[in-house]
Amino acid sequence: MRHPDKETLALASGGDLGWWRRWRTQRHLAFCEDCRLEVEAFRKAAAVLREGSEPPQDLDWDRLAMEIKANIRLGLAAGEIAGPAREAPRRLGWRAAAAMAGVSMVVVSGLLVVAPFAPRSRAPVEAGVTAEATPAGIELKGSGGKLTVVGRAGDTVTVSARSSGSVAARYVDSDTGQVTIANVYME
Amino acid sequence: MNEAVGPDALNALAGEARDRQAQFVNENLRRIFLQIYRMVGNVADAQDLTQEVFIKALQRQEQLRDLEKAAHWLSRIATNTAIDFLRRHGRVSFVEIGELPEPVSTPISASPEQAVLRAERAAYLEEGLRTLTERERAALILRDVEDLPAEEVARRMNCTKATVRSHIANARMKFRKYLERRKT
Repeated sequence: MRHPDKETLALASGGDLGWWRRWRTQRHLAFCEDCRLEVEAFRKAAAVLREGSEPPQDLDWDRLAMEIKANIRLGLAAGEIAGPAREAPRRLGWRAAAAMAGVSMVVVSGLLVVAPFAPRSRAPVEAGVTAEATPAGIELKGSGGKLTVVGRAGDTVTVSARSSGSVAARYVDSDTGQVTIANVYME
Repeated sequence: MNEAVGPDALNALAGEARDRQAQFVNENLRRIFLQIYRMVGNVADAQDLTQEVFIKALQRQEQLRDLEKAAHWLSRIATNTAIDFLRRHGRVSFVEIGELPEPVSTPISASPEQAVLRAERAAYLEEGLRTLTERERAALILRDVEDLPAEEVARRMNCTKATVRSHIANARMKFRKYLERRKT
């Protein structure tokens, strides 16, 4: 006679088998005393556990409950002062990280291929901006304000304007002989 | 159109929330304490963990709208908290007479002999439960002591019924083996 394994008998002792295995096991138990004793031993062990798992008989529940409730109130009050706990930042799973790496590579490759042929955009020249050489230096005027590239007072400053839209000022420091060239480009 | 909410209305709402919290704690405290006590095996740890479970639950007010659902949710938190505790503490929880917590013992009704017997019995069972993994222990307690159906145990432990059955079978075999070894 083939006996059910121990796992089956352990599950049978608590009625935890599916209907088919239960039916087969019960049929076997009806004729096999050894297995019946096995099942009984499992039931006794469960009873020992149940009995021993009850809290002590002298447990002063009312007092304990009062203490627990007070501590809960205290914990909640402390939580309100500390504010809500911040969630730890979620880590990316390896699938998400691999997908993001792939997308990044495609975008970067696209930029590298397209960028060299794309015309560089220039900042639009603001209408009404003028450049002017004054005794103080070169002045850019526009939008109600001005920017002055200050020349050196007392030295002779040579100012030149180019058709490309730049103004240059050159002068030589009479004390040190240092040459300073300032170019102002209008874009 | 927005209606202005005055301080009286706000106070009333806060009072209502407090009442709901108190009702929730009163209805579930003993059940959750016992569930945790059976899993961890001593009153002091069960008390700490019960407090922790309720604080976690009450900090999420939106879960308390349906008190019946909230009770199930609370049981799951309790199960997970107890399993985490057992994992953190390597399933070791010695019960000694000197460690019995002050507020729960009534010295008049419990004689020293009874205390010794109880402590010995608790230590004996605890040693047996320590032969199980945390999840086997949780499954065994929920099924054989709490008497929950396997489906509910699976729900609380967030796993399949087949896994729970496997945990229960292993736990029963190991625990029985322990009892038999101790007898001989």
